[in-house]
Amino acid sequence: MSLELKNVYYTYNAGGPEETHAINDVSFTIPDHSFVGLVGHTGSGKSTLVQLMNGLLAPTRGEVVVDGVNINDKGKEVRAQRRQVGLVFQYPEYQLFEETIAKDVAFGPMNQGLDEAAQTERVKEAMALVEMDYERFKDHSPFELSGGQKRRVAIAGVVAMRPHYLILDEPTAGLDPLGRDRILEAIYRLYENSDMSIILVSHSMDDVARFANYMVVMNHGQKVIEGKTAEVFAQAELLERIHLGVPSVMALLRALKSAGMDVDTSALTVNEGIDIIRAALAKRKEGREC
Amino acid sequence: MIDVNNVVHIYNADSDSEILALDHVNLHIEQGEHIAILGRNGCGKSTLAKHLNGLLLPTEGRVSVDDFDTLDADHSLDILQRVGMVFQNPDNQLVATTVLEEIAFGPENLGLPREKILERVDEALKMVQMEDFRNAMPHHLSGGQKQRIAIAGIIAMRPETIVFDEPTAMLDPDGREEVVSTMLRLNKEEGLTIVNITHFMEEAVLADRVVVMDDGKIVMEGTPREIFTHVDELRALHLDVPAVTEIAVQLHEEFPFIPRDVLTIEEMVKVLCP
Repeated sequence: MSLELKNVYYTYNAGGPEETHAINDVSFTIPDHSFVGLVGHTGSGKSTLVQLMNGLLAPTRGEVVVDGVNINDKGKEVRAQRRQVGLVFQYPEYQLFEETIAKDVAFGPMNQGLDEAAQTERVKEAMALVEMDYERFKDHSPFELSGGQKRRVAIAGVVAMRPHYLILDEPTAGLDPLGRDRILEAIYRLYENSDMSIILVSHSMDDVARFANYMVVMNHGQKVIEGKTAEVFAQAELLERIHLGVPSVMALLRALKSAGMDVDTSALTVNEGIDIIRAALAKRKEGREC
Repeated sequence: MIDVNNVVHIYNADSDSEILALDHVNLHIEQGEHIAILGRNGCGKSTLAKHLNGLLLPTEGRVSVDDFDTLDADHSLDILQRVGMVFQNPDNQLVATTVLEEIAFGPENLGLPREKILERVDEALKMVQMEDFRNAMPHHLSGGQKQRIAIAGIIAMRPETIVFDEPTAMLDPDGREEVVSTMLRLNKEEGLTIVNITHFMEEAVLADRVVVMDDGKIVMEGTPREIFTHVDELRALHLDVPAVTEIAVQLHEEFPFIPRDVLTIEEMVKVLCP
């Protein structure tokens, strides 16, 4: 089970004098049940890429293969296979439209042709997974909720279609620290409690370091690196060169190292950072020289 | 100079859905100050911001801008000209088809002659470093550029104060950097008073003074250095603390030579590798 891109191009004005590759020969494989951080600058091709991954866009060349099926082939099974990849757009709360939260979340399952009982079951399951109490919220209007809650309802609407891969395009944009943490923690528990893979598009290296176990890094329409999170962040110079930077604790340790302090620079969290600095300070005899 | 004096604001007053958004707030803002206001969603910070130029009026108490009371309708234009606001969503505050028209909108409404208007447009574009975009179409610009045009539209009114309500929340890191450096330049070089409502600690550490709100009240007030060493209190208010400060506060216990109020990586390097 994997989501695989094979030499994918997405080209504007193909064959013409102003041919530009929004996606330029990108290949990667998302391992089964992984939490992927998809990072890159604005304009690096991330948004085009996620639309290619769920079949909203078809590649100019190359293949998008979901669990062994090329999702751009023809046929009914292929269409079903596309549903394995759910996409939550940026600011998904703008897409809520139903009178009640339960109806809004049921919209996808209804279109999949499920009967009412099955729809309700999916709604309950999806709302539980995004940590919204079904009984309490089902009859409320989605427009009465806070920004973070609306966003969780919108995510539930995609989760209710039981995708095997869930792509979230900047799910924390515009939220306050509490709303951000609640969404990310809910997504992480959703990942832990299912066999789903999560693909998180984010500008925050701190958020990616906290949650992702795999990363794909994009720059100018090309894949720059992919791999396990720690391995990708180990290539800090490369990430800095393409203006992405590294998590803040790692940035601190790298600055200390280049000022002459003997520290390991691989830490990603505050507690790891404290342990490393403490160890380096204990090694110093005088306590103040580097 | 803005003076917020014992202000109470109640939404839907005298109904079942009454909400106390501001609960006896006092705040004095000096000309030329740079203030950051922090607090979780719903703490009242946007309500407070909208009181600073009379977009909202106090239920109790008073707000004065220079010597004009926001409750005095005869002076609402004087107040709006002095205190401009930049909002979160760059797409919701631009209306014209070119950058020139967008920025000229305010001065035109002041009834200025054409040459004066153009002079102000060019001056404002220069201050936000977008001289080359005079004839560009706003919808072709990036988020950070759109916010800078919104700022230029306010500068063209020659205000004393700009209130920013989460101006970078919808921007990518580059756009955020553009808006923040514009904000700092206007404060340092042009002497404009800046009030920045933000969730980003990296922005708050740049202010002269940080005001923390919770539940309609001001709960902490001080320099960034004073505020951010209160790691546990900030956490309890669901606010972020810079990672460097959190590390410094924890290491201070064992290594007293590390001060608790380290705010940036550069400062930490100076402390640990002098």
